Amino acid sequence: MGGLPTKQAVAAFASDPTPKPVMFAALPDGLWTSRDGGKTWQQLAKAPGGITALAVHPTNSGMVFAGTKEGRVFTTNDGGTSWEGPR
Amino acid sequence: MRSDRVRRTGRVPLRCLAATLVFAGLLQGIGAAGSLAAGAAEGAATAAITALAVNSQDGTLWIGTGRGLLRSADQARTVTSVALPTKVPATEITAVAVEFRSPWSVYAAAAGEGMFKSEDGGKSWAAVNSGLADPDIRGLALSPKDGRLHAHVRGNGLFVSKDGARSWKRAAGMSGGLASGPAGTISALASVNMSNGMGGIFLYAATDQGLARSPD
Repeated sequence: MGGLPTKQAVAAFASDPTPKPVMFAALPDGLWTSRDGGKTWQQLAKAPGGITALAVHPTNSGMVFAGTKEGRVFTTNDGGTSWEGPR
Repeated sequence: MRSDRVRRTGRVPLRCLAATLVFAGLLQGIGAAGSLAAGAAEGAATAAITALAVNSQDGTLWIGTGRGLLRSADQARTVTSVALPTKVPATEITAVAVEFRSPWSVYAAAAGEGMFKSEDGGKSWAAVNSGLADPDIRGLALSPKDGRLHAHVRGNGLFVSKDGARSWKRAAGMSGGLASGPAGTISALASVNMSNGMGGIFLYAATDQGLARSPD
């Protein structure tokens, strides 16, 4: 799990069901993603804070939902480059 | 946090709290279906999002919260409360999963109340806890390959079901200490389909001590 900080709490984790899954992990310092099956991880430049739950759309790995401790749900359609809501 | 660059989808008001809040004099016009757009009860009727899962066919978003289960057909613009047959209404949802190939099969774990399954997209639910040591489930993973389920039962380690949660037995033979429960408190459990390396399904556990994984 190269690049992913160790000994830090992981508040949420999700991946898509394909054999080459995209993974997301929410750590205290932000949201991290891996696109090579967990070999390497990169921190996303933008992400909601306080993520407590994640889900990747099963047939569109660019669409990710992030729920927060404040009861909010954020959506990205580009794998986490930008985040927004429908309103 | 970088939320200054992030537009908010919306808080999730909970319909199941509506009656309580009315009596408490806190509710100020919550939407009948728990509409996010009508979230006038912000601050009072919100709870942490505890779990998320997506229907692979119609995109329905299942939202577990600290005070019950919600669903949304429009990416959380609006939400509807889903009543589970729990003893305590609006129980904390600790895990949600949707079958990849049969997305009308939905699983939801309620804190201290066990696992519930719907086979009709959430219209009806049944408890599915046969073989589980305790109803306090803190993580649920659903294999995208064969539908195998793993549930983490607090204080009792991992349990596995190969028959759609009709029966459970203790998981064994997993490396990394996952069978007995990974170190720390679990916040999420996931089955990941890997093609690299030896391939196969790996079980990932998000914990307060880091990310753990083990071949399934």
